[in-house]
Amino acid sequence: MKSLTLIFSAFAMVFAMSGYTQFAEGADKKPVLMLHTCPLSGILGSVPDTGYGLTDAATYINETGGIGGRELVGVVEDGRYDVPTTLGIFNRFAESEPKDEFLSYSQFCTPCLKALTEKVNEEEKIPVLAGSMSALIFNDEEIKKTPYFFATGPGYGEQWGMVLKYIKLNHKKSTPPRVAFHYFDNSTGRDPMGDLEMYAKKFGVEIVLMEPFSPTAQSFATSFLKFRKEEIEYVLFWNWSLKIGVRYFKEAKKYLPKTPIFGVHWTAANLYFNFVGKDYDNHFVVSGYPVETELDNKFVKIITDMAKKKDRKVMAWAFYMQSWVMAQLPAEAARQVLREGKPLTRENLRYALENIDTDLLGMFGGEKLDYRTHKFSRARVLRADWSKKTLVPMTEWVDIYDYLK
Amino acid sequence: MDYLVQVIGSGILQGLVYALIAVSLVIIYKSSEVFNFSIGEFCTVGAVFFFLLQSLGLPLWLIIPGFLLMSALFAGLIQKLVIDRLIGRDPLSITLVTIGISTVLIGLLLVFFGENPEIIDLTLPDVTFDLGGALFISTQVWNGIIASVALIGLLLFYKFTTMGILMRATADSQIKSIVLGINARWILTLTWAISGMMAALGGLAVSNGSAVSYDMGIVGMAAIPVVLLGGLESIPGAILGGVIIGLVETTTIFYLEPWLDLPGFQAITPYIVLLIVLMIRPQGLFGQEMIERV
Repeated sequence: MKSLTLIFSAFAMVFAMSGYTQFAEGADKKPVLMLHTCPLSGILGSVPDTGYGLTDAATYINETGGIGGRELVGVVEDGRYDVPTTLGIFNRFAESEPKDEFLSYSQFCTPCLKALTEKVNEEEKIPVLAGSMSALIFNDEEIKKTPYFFATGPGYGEQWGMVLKYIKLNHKKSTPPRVAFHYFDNSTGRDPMGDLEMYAKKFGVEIVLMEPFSPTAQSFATSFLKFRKEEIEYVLFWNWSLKIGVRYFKEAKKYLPKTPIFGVHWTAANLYFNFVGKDYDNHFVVSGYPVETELDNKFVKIITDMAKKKDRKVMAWAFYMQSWVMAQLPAEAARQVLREGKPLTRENLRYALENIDTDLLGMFGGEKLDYRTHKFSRARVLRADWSKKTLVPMTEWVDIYDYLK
Repeated sequence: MDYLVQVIGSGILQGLVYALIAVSLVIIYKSSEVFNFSIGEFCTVGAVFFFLLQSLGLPLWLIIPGFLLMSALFAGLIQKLVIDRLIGRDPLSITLVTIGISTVLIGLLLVFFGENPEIIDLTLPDVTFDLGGALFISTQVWNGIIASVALIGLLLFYKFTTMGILMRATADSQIKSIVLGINARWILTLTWAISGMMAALGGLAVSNGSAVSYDMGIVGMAAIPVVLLGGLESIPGAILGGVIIGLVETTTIFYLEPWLDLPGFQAITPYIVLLIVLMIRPQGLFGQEMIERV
């Protein structure tokens, strides 16, 4: 009887354990959900690459083992660059998806990010990979209040700072460079102004004009004439709308043929070659992303192969890359969490992102990403070269903080 | 001095483009008391027609009449399909319908033209004036020339041609013109067609040397202070109003904004001027004073 009891107990134990194992395996096999909103329609909805990147990155991540064997599911929704729409989508997912599956959110809209501050950082506590690199959010003080926000690029303040330093270093005259800041007239347009003024003072650059343009502007002629009158030597063009950019570059070359126009990430797009041709030539930009023609860069090789495999008609590689990084970064952080033997939770993912040990598939020419500041620490100055139909590097990859010293 | 030349010259050239769009509003209002809120989309459609013909590689001498004809047919078609059925209704309700037309057109443009901007380049001889302190680039000068020719042509058409006289008669009184044997419905369709052509030229001037996009219709808003200033029923008023608004804008940009340290103030000044004028002359500079007998 005793032996029978023992045998039954052993069977029961084995049965229970197998059930537990099955359950545990089931839990492990739960997909990891990444929600992504991007402007597929609406005022900025002309570049679908902001969605393709994440979808293709999810494919690549799953092909390379997923996240500890768990499938990565990237859900792309159309946020329309509209606050109510974007918030509605995020809230829907936050309410319906389990917290141990819905692990990160990415998006491209600065006003939406600001509107999500409390919901994300106090209620949901979910890492957000932001397309926005707002100087007002991603600075040393503010980021302490929004620890779940991560920028997918260098901060706007630092990017403009780098532009000013580059201008100063390459300025041939003995007088300070005379600069006009021509900006999109809304809160995001005004976002980097404080940093810009600070860096201008630091590097001895004179900001002669801060000139706004309307988001619905059809012509910039009067502004350009103003720049001529003020003998502006460099124009800083702060814009993220394709329609504005196309009109701008077409007109700028007529009014200011010899004045270099500088921009940051959002005008570092090969698509301008397709739209405005040689009028995009000689546009200088600061970018935290490589160029699609640099096939010796491992990251570029991977993404261009994937885009080819999926038959993507990529218009703007920089935005495709950024969208890709919005999945790649949290995926690598999640793998790091698992490598460290910790459970995959939102909080552990946030911590891993902050302390990530990755070179992002070799994106920065082999250098590792320092993400402690929640924004990229590496960038380059590039120049649009019409003869090569690509952006060519004017500097090496630099540590922005060293460069801005 | 050069700077003043720049301010005045740019103001007039810009104002002529505004006048072109404003006139297309006025000729419809004159004939039917309908304020066409879809005028901006008419401008866009015209520019899109130009782009389509340009992308076919046609020569300019074919593109210009071609896109004008297409724009006229398009505007005439809108009148026949939508507005004609509402004749006899309160003009205010027809005005509201034009808001609907605007929304539908934006949607159709998005579907058929797409969301990306397209470049428009009117390849004409270079007539850039670079006077050192003042610069008038070729596209700007050509836009001014095109607008001037179109406006003068329209004035002459209304003044001296039989069709123009019939149109003026119908605009004065539809009932009397019908009694006199004029086909008022046909005249109204023609009025819309001419308005479509003027708007198309306005759209071309706005996008020339730049780009056309489906949401470019916002340019129509620029014509509103112009027509209210000049008077809703007056073509010369619209032309003068356009030039005044153009000058107000450039003066604000070049003098007032730096003086007040208010960048972007230029967006408001046309409306400030409009308010002042309307307080003195509610019917606008050239508008007809309405006297109602009770």
